[in-house]
Amino acid sequence: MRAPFKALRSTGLAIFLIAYLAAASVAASFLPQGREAGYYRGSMPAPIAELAIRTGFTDFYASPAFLGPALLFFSNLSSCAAYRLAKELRKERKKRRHGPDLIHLGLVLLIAAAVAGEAVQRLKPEETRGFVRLAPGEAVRLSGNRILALVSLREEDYPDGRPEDWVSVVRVTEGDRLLVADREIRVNRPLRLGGLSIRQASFQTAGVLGLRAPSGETRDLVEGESLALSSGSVELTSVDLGAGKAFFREAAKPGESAEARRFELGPGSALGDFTVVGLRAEELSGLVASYDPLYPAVLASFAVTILGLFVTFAQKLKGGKLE
Amino acid sequence: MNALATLAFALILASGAIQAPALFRKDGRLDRASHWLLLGAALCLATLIVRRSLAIGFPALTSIFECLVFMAAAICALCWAYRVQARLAFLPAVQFGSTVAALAALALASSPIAPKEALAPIPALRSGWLLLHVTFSFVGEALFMAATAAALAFLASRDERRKRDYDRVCYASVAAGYPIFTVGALIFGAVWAEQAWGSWWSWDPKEIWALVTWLVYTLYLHLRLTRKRVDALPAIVAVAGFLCALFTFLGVNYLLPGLHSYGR
Repeated sequence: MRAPFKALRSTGLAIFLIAYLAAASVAASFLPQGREAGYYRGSMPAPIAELAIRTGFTDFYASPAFLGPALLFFSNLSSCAAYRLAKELRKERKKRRHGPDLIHLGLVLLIAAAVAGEAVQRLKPEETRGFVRLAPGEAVRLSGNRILALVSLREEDYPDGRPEDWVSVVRVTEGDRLLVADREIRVNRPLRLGGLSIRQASFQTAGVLGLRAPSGETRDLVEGESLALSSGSVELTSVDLGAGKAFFREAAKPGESAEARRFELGPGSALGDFTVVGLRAEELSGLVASYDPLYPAVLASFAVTILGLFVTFAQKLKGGKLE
Repeated sequence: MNALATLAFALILASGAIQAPALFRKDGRLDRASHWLLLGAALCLATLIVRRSLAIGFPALTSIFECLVFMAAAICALCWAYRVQARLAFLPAVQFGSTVAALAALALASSPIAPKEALAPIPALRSGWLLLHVTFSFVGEALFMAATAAALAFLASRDERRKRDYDRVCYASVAAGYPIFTVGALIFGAVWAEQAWGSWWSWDPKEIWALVTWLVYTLYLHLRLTRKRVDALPAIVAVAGFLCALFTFLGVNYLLPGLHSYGR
């Protein structure tokens, strides 16, 4: 039992794995990642394409070629950290050097938090990340029955007219309870609500089509959005306010040409059961909500690693190892 | 503003010219002016950055030009500090190699690949974390540059005593640069990415190459731990590490577009 543990925690294994991970990452960085097999077969010599596909280098960071050595590296790091810490604790207090222990511990915590975070995102993708475009006055439901409403939005510009920042003012309620009152979300200044973060992703002036259903209810369709009709799905590709027209594309059906799937409508026209009641331009705020329950763990791992790095350096400096 | 960069370039060039004879001198006598010229160049470049920051209303560290100027200033300041410190043996080849690197950084800054127009940054770049990310990364890389100069001198030298000195300077530079680079390039970069994009890490080419650079220097430190005697392998790895850092900074922007493409 001692020999395998010794091999697992050895610096030699660490050196081999670090060299492999660095070299393999370099190779993978020159290969477009995550494309269909046909792309590689069509864009590079056959033997290289086959090698890349079979070894998993076409999606390297999700392949056994990366995950296997990365897992082994995690085991090496953890066992080395445990062994080293135990060894240091047996020394006199004044002779202990805990800097490398802290670095190893921080990295172990970071890898564990990253893997757990990735697992949560893969298991519940819809609960962990979402994008919404809101006009002022519109609202969206967040997890836990919370409602986020966009109160206002504005673009702040430099004197030369280029955008300096995009600012959304939002309000969050839960039932009758006001959780967040008129808080600004800026690019680089997200709103944090527990493990949920809401950040400013985009700002645009988009064409909006007003529609009325047979029941009399109205709804809006924004450029780029799709609408499900009984005959199939249609996408609003653009709105020309000057010409008073909205342009659509039908979802492809087998045997149909792209031309046959495009059409335009104006106010008063019918779109399936709906009637087009108007066209307008509206400023929209693009907000991204992401849920990361491991956020505090990642921050803690960073803090431990930073502490370890500087304690190590200070101990080397004090011990005369840099002279 | 370009006058300051030109003046800095002239000072660095003059410093290099003064240093060059010392490389061939056997008596170990050193000149008295070259490091002060480098300090003068660092101050000129720092003034350029401050003036540019005042002009755009934000710390001027967001374009390739500004980053190259900052890098050159950091290398010059480091060379001066290396000369005036007393703990490490002063090796003229390390100072000379770093001086050449500072000249190269400024030459690149004046080339067409680095647009010189002073523009305030786009919204995503207006972050305090970005400033920490950039400054720490480049200070770390300036130290890696000094390590590379020492490693190349090590590989070129045949004198065992000299080799040990070069190895020590190389190790000290990596030992100082590694924590600064790790914190700046990887940790502050990840914190900024989380704020701006909602994700700590995106496997973007720039991120991957920063990680590769870090892995190579991690490899260097571990190799240094296990080697019983001073040999060439750690020096080769130190040079490889700096090539990775260079590719991360410049190569990725032009060859492997990704989230950091606005850095062109």
